[in-house]
Amino acid sequence: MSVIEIQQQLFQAIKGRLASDASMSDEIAALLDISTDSAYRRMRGEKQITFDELYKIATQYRISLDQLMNINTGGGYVPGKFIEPENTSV
Amino acid sequence: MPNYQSQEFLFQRIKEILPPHVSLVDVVAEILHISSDSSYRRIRGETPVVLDEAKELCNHYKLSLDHILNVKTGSTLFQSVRVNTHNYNYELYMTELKKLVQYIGSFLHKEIIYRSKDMPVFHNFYYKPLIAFRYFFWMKTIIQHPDFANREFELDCMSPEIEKLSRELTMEYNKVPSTEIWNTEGVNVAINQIEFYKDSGYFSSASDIKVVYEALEASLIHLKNEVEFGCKFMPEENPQSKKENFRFFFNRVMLGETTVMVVTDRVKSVFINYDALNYISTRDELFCNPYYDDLQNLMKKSTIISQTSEKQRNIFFGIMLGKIADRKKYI
Repeated sequence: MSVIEIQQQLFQAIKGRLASDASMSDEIAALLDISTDSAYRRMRGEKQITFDELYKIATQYRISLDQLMNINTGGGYVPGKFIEPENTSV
Repeated sequence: MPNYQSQEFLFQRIKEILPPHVSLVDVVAEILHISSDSSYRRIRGETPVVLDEAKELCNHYKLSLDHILNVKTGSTLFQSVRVNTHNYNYELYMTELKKLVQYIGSFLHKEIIYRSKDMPVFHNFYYKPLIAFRYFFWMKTIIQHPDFANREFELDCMSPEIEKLSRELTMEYNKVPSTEIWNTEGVNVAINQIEFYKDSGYFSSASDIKVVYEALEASLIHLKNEVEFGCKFMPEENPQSKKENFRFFFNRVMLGETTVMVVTDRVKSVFINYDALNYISTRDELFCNPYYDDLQNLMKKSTIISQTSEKQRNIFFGIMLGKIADRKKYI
């Protein structure tokens, strides 16, 4: 998968997580501290996002980079939550 | 996060998993097909790592970018190791396990914390009859190897290579500082396996049952000596020539599943054992760090009996040896 394809999938994944009335370009611009035009160029795949930008986006939208970039970690994901005393009712 | 800090995390994690004698610059240059200078620039954060390169590095070391960058996806990545009869046989499993223990031993700071409800695998390999029995049981009953389907247990059921490999695995474990947390049920699994084979008629003679029980008894007595000296050694070795590298806790409350935590320099890994030999493992800090704290808490609620508390040590091993003595009466 090319970098551009990864980038396109990333923005596709973000789209699915945005509220219906939210503007993706505005959100990305604010998150990465860039202009709306620059955000558009990244969304259209005209400009490659950097590793650091990828990190900020993945953290903000809780996107798995392993799944996005098809990284072969040789393992399987186990979803779950830890029992934490503050969240556990007695 | 300032520029390129995430890329620093990536290189830091790769460095942590490399054996100490391997150069980070060289491996990055080789994997990315770039010069050493270019490799240096990426490691120092002067040149940004592009996505393709990050992917290459992660694929090579089977690293999770989600873990490295601490992206909270709500999932934990586990690697699975499962013995089977075709492409990952017992001999290969043991060879890989030995390599893993050697790899752990290659770090400057290392520790294995073994929370166990069965005898840790390494303590089965001191005496030939027990090595043979455990091997036979795993092959016939757990792996269900077709060659063992219609066989009865015999003391010479294993090849010299398997015996040698088993002992070598234990010798490697003996070099690594470790902490074991047991309770008196730790011997039950071995006893149950022997009893199951006795009742099922899988022993060819009553004398073999006695020999296997005696080897189990001798293994526990040897373990007791190791606990007393606070170091690990083979039966033919002198404990006084060994470094103190063994802590042993007697836990009276609960142990849960057999779980092993490995700490190498700054990296923690957790191995969760299932189905006798198989295990899943993770290096996810969100999973490993709280689990490390849990183990420290468990140790606080346990009694240390290595090198100290002679009376408690005698009681602990006395209970387990008593269980074997009881069974030997009914052979």
